[in-house]
Amino acid sequence: MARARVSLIASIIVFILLIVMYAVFNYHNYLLLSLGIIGCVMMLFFIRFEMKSIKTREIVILALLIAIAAVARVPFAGLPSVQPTSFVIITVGLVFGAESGFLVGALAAIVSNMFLGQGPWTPWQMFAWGTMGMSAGLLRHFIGVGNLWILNSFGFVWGFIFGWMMNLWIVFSNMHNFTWEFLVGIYVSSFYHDLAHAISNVIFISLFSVRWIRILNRFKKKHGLLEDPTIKPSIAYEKAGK
Amino acid sequence: MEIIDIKALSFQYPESDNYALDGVNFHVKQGEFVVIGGPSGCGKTTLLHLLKKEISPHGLQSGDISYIGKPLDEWDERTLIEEIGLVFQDPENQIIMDDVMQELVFGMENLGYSPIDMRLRLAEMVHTFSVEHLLHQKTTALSGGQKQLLNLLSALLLKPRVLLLDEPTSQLDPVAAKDLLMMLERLNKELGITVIIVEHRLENIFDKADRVVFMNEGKIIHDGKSREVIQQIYNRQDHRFFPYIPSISQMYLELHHAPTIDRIPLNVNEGRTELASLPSMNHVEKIENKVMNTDTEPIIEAKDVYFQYEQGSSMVLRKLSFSLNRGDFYAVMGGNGSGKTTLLKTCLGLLKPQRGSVKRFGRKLTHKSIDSVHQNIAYLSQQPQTFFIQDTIEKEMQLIAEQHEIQDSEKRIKSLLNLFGIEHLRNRHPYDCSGGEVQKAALACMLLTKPSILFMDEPTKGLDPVSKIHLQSILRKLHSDGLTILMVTHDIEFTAKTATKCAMLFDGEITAEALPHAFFTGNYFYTTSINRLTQNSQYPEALTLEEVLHSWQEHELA
Amino acid sequence: MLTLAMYFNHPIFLVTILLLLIFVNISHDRGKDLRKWLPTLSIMSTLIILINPFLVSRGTTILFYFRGKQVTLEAFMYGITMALFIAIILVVFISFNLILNGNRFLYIFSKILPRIALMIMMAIRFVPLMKRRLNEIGDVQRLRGMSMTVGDFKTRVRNGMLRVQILLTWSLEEAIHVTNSMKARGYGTEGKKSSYTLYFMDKRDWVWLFILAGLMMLCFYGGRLGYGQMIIYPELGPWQFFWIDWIVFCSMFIITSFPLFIEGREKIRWKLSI
Repeated sequence: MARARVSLIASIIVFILLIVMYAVFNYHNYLLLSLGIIGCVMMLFFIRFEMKSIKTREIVILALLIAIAAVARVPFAGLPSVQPTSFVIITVGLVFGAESGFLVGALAAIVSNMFLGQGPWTPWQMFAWGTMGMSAGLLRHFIGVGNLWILNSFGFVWGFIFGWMMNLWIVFSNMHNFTWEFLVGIYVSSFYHDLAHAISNVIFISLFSVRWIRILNRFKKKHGLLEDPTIKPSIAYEKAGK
Repeated sequence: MEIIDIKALSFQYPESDNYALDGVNFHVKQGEFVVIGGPSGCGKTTLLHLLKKEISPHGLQSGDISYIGKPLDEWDERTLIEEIGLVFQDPENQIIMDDVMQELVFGMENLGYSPIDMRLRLAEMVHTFSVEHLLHQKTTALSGGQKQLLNLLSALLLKPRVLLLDEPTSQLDPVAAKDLLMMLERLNKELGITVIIVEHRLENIFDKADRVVFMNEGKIIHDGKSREVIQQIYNRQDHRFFPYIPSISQMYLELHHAPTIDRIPLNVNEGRTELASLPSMNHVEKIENKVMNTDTEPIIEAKDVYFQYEQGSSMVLRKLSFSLNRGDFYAVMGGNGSGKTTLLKTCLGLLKPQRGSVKRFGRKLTHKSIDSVHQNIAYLSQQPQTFFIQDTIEKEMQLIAEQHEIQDSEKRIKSLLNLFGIEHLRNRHPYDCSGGEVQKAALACMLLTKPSILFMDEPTKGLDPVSKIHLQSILRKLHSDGLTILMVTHDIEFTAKTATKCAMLFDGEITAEALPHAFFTGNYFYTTSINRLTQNSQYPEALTLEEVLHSWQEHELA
Repeated sequence: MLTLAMYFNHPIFLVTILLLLIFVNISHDRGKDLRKWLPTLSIMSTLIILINPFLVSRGTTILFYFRGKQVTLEAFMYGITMALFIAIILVVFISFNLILNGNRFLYIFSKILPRIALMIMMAIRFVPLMKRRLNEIGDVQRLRGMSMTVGDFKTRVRNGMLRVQILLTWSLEEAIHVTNSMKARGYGTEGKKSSYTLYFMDKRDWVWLFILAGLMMLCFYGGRLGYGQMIIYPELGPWQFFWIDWIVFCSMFIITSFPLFIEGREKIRWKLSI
């Protein structure tokens, strides 16, 4: 616990230093700066999770969902344009809330890259999938999951936002010869890819979201898992305090 | 001294009307080797889990559980974690870490041992069990037996005084299972660790155990020394537990005029001594499994098949040729890694051989023909639950009926559910069923489309003896109704009772193919325990207990 | 190293960094991973070097005209530095992957974020298991006619996700056993955890860290003052080094070759002891 608090303070300091360094030293390394900022923001989420009290079973379930999100592409080897990982992450966010959504999204990126290869894109991917999962959790919180139309448009929009976030790493690593044409060029060239992502999100949400939410909810109820305390107290069969 | 003392223990799961445990009294002395048996759902696993406080299930509990004279609740958490170790059923689900080394030290790290302590214990354990070669491997790269050994070692590193094991061998092949049991025997004899093991496969364990306990419906039915329990079951003619008794003991008790308790044989060696004292008969009459060959046209034909998983790796199948005729019940046997599953998947068309051809119904297998909905075959995998998409068995069957446009579906669904005796599970979620039940449900679903070939991969793995007998009779019935069956298995007793043709897969090809009697009799290991007993006597042809008992009755009548 | 590479653009600096990095990589796994990337790397670099001068016409030293556009030496040089830069990034990440997958990184990580690190380690352990399960599910489902190769796009997408769904249902049911196994070995108990693998920082390590940090500062400072950099646009600057350039170059050389030095020392000692 104390360790987590130290890291919390440390990452805030690093964050401030980064900004100061940028402002004072006129140090134009945008890629590094952006990575630093992303790292700090994610660190805050991670540290919050470290400080929470959580059941062993919940850790196992989250690790399992991360692994499933990371391998979800395996059956689609013959269909390169389909991106099933996002659907898994959105569903986790919808059922288990914003924090779990963020964790599963961000860590699924690390884990899948462990097998596919890390790169400068890893932090961006973590951030993009993390916020995707988080926003799904917020969506449930404020609007609810009943309406398939809302869910579908949510998935569709995220297909693009994800692509746009991922484009940023290319932009930031080439800041020194930045032109608006270059920016537009990158965003135009990724359009079809993003569209495919958006469409596969819509297909998966319309075909599977109801089933998946039911499967996960059945499991959550059965074991009183990862309830958002703001919505209702967890139904725990577990004896309090183990 | 009594290390575990359970008095009037009852337990009820939430939302369940029945008692999982009902007034159980159970005592274990220090250093005892206790085996607990009984059908699925008899409460044996619940009993075991209640002894391990950290994972004890939640529900209504009454009665006392004491460990070395003090109730479990009064012990401190840490001592209990260390002193009572637990190994679970599925080796795969217990492994947390990616590296073997990390997995081994996981428990010690959690309890905050000092580095020196950890190093010493690890070095000692690794050396004692000579597993140095595994230490730096990935856990995923280990075989099933090695994984279970790893799980056992992880528990042992905390130096337990009591070791609880929940069906530790049910997912292992016979060789690995025997190794594990021998290791447990060693731990018990050399280190004095108390062992409590829940098991289905009791054939080899009766002569190792100090005590055997049988449970049913939450109650302890039989409890005593191995021979006492066997005799008790026999005297009371308690047929529920007959399948659990070693066939050698059964043979002695059935045939001997005046059986005495301390002469009940528990292993082949003792059995041979007793064989001489049994009354003699003319000969044992072979009962061959009924052959249903109506034509000899092969429906699967593999010719000179070569297969390797990766370029540069060794050939798993090498110039393999075999044919399956209509009406066969064909069993492929072979050691671990001999390529049995590869053979099955090649015949299914899931793997494409590098060289050679596989023909099914006279046509070469292509991607298209495999991927069509109507291909007239069924495949029961080792994990039958992977078949289910819907949340109830009934919905699944209705979906299949719809896909295959089956007429009169409701009637067929009903008759199949009745055939398998699972009508009561109709609205159950497949994942809420026991292993044997899921298997039956999957078979029922597959048979809805009236396939003409059934492929099975290790159908008896993890089944309790009673479910195994059910499966045996169901398969016999299906076979006599004209279903052709191809199975790969380790289970010799099961094969001897069901198959019409057996084959040995060795070194990538089928090296022997024969009728069960010719195939098994005379082998050292690859034969039934009855045959191991009788092969050097005047009845070398005896293979199953049924044959011996049947011949005996004939002899008596004559 | 990445920072250094971004800082300097003098081709000699970049070439030195790249060569040293390649040696580091080879000392790790004999360049096995590097060789896989080699075709991509060389094609990419060649393309950048060739295309940049034809697209960008900045610079004053005109080599020749191509379809009325000037092709300049400066743009050519810029292409070379870009290509070197990208090659360095790639090689760094190849090395990074090698080190990262060795779990060493996670040990360090687990000091700060133990729970997250455990989750990542567990997920890494689950991935091969999940893949194997997916293959099994795939076989069973394929044989009951739920194909991934026949049928229209939507059917295939549906069949694919159905497999993931079966994996989800199956694995969630098994999760209880994983949890029990962790609890049975004391996970989640009160009290301090310990770690089997220890990374001690002894006195010599601190000295080295200090030296490296000092050299790093030197490089940054030098770089800020414009040493180790070459002026490309609008006109190609001079190639030669000032003495300060040499100092910066040497410090950079030592920093980059540090891993090589450590590994090499072990190997030499090993050989000498035989």
